[in-house]
Amino acid sequence: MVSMTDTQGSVIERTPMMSRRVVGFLMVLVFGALALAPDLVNPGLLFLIGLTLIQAVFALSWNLLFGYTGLASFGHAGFFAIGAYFTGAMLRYTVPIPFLGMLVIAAGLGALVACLIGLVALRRLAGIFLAVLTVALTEVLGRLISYSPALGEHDGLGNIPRPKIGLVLWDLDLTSSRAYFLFLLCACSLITAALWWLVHSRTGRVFQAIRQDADRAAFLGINVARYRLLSFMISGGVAAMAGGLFAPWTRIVTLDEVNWLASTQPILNTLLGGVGSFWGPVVGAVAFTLINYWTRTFVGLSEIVIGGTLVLVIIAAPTGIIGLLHTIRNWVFQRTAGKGGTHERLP
Amino acid sequence: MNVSPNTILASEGLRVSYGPIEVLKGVSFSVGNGSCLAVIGPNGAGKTTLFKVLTGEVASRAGTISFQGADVTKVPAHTRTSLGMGRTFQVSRVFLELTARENVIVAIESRRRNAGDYGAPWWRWRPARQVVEEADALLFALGIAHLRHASAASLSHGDKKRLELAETLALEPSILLLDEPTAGMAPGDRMQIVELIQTIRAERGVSVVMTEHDMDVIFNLADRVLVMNYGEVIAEGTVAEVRENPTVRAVYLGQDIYNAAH
Repeated sequence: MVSMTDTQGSVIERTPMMSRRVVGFLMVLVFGALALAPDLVNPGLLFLIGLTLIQAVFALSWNLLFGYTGLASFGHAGFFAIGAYFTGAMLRYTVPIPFLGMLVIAAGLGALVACLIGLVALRRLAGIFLAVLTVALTEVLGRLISYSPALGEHDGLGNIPRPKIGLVLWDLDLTSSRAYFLFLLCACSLITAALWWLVHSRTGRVFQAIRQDADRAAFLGINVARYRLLSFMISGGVAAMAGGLFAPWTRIVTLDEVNWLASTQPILNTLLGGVGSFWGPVVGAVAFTLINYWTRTFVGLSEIVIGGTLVLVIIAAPTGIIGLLHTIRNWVFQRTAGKGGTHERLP
Repeated sequence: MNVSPNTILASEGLRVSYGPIEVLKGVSFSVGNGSCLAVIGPNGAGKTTLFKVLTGEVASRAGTISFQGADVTKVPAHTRTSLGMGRTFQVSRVFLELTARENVIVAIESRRRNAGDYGAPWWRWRPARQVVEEADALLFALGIAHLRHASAASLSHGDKKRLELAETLALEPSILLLDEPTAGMAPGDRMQIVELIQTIRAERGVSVVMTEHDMDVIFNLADRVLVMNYGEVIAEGTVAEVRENPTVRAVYLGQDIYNAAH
């Protein structure tokens, strides 16, 4: 893997699981298959696929914080709920804001709340404050919603209409499941692409440096607190945007989205898929949905299978499904991972 | 505080306590522009704590630090770094999951960011070509160019020290604070590092403050020596002066050696 002969100034090389070209080809293939999904699968399954897309983005936002910047939020559902209840209420009460504007405002709200929490917690530079404060945020939000009739109290905010997007030349009607699913697919793909770009940019390199050794990063002249805050704001904003996409898809937002259990979902998805990899949360979200789907007829079985899988993953493959695939690949091709292979960040 | 214009770094009455224990009991010293000061003393003398206070890792209870004529006592660590303080650690610290080249790139990009010169538009996610070339040149200068694609975790102890130094040099510091630059190294590697530091000083004109246990390294590099014991400066002077100082011999080299010599 260590190539000695490459020209100066070439791109940073590692041992990727697959070459960039193969990954790109797979992306196009998956996107194409998903774009055809509304015509191929039944509405129930389509609904689940849509939820998986949203959960994947939600998990990616959590992993930006945990896997890239080294901060843990145990109450990420709070940000998701901000976005979900915001767009839900805006659509329900037909506030005349364009839907894309709503999503942007939702992301802004998530980032603003993250900023306020971050200013309190990140100053102390200790991760536990952040974890505790985000849990508190979720609990407070849940309590507030349960007392506000406009947001449906304990019954949830229902009858959320799907939006129409007014473009310059024509209107994009997203009221049908098919249309909204395609919109969802494009939105989630764009957010994922933006996050991929972010973690590979110079800002992403700073995040990674901070996760690996925050003190050393400070002695390289990096303002650690500022970058932690930035990462937390982006993460909160993306989570809120995922929530904003969620409300019109399910057409109901309930307190189930604003609790401790909902906060563990992105964590489980990330751990299952692989914490050391960008695509881990996406793979984890898909695996989670598959397990849920296959065990749907047996009440309680999905929890057991998911719990069991998670225990198995943590014991047998701490780097998640992607790490496991990597190990199998190396084993099949009878090659070692090369120098320091276990420390490579997977693609 | 009176600082002569030829002084790059100076402290006055620095006091640091960890709980009830006073680790630095009023340390004052100064480093001349372009010179090399070695801080020596037995284990627990407060050398590393002095380093931590100077770089901003630990806050002082009393006293002032001035750097390039400005009072930096309350300035946070990352700002001191961007002002021109470069620091290495006793146990080398690099970003283990990044490649050697990426490690240096992070440092170069940080320097450029602090100088307001990004080198490439914000949407460019790949490091700018000149940044990569600069990183490779630094790795080459430190003799680890062939390891640039290896993850930092896979480097040997000596190579990690070199990489850490490369990162620190990438900041283009005006003063280098080296905490035991040759600790745990083989004698051959040790002399290589000494030569390297001499070259860096000659080429870049940086000032150096270092702690070190190895006397050969100190005799080869230091212009002046500061001797500490129990959080106090007990002697300061040129290498020859300090060598002849009876208090230093008693404290640092051991009473037995002193007695045997007389």
